[in-house]
Amino acid sequence: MYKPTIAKHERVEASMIESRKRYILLGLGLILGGGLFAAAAGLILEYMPLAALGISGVILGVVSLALGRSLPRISPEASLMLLEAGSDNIMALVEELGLRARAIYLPTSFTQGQPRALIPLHGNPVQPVIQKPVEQRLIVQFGPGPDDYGVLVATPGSPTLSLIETPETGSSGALEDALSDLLVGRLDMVNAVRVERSGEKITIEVAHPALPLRSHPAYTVLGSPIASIVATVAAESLGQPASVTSESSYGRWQVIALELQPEVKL
Amino acid sequence: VRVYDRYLATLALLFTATTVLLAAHSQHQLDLYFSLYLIEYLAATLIFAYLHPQARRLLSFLGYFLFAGFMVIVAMKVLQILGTFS
Repeated sequence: MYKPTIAKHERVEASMIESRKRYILLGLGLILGGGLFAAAAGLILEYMPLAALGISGVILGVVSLALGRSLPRISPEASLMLLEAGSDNIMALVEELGLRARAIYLPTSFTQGQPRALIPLHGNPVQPVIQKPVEQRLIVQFGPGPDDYGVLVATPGSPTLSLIETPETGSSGALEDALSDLLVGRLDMVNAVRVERSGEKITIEVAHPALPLRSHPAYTVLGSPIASIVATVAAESLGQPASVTSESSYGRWQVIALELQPEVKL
Repeated sequence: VRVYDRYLATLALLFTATTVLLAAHSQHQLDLYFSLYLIEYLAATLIFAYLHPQARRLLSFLGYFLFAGFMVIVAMKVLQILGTFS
């Protein structure tokens, strides 16, 4: 009997073993080749620059072995695949319910649990200000008005927060560090992150995103998967609800504009 | 993995450039090459600050090991100088 989950799991593992093997083979090759080359150049030819080149090969070999040993269990490609699958499910829900208002990413202080995104049910272009924590349910009331209802969903950014240390609250430097740690080091989704803050507006630039920016009707609500992760981390790091106001790309950079909601004493 | 590849490529490029430059200037002291490799290794590892934590741990160990090698070179030089004076 065909079991797609198992087949997928095996493919993911096989790709990871392949990557690991590549680094380990390269490392062993460099250590062995570099060592022999250094010995031959130093002892037989007595030409030190070539011996030094052999030593540098040995160092690179050890580095390659270390990198091979520390590869994450799931390859970045597989992570991206799962991330896209998760995003597609949320997007389908958003499209089916006909939601049009921009999502508001809430920090854990507002959700009393995992960070979530709140999508207002009304189509009012003015964003509501969330002033009190919301319940952990799918449909939640976020204000006193009759239209103040929204859908509370987990986004791609929600589980990724557990991969990094809880960001320090407040500075944009801490936010840049947290985003770099997550997107560059853990998820390998981008090459670099830059953060600029001006009042309640934050501009985040990411270099070489692994997921190219594509147009999707649901992205106007939640933002692209990378923007969603960025907004979740920003909301959590700064302790304020945030929403993605725009996304664009120029050259190898993707620019994500966020808007923070006014700080509220809970 | 892309970040790992870039890190390895950066190190390979730095080491090769150093070797070629020093060889072009007829430098034949192995300790000079090794010291420069160590500095480049530490600098590159510092620049790639956002590697996976386990990779960083293993690379730190390698850094200590290379630094120990550097200290051996320094000790040998000191002994050599002391031997010249005595």
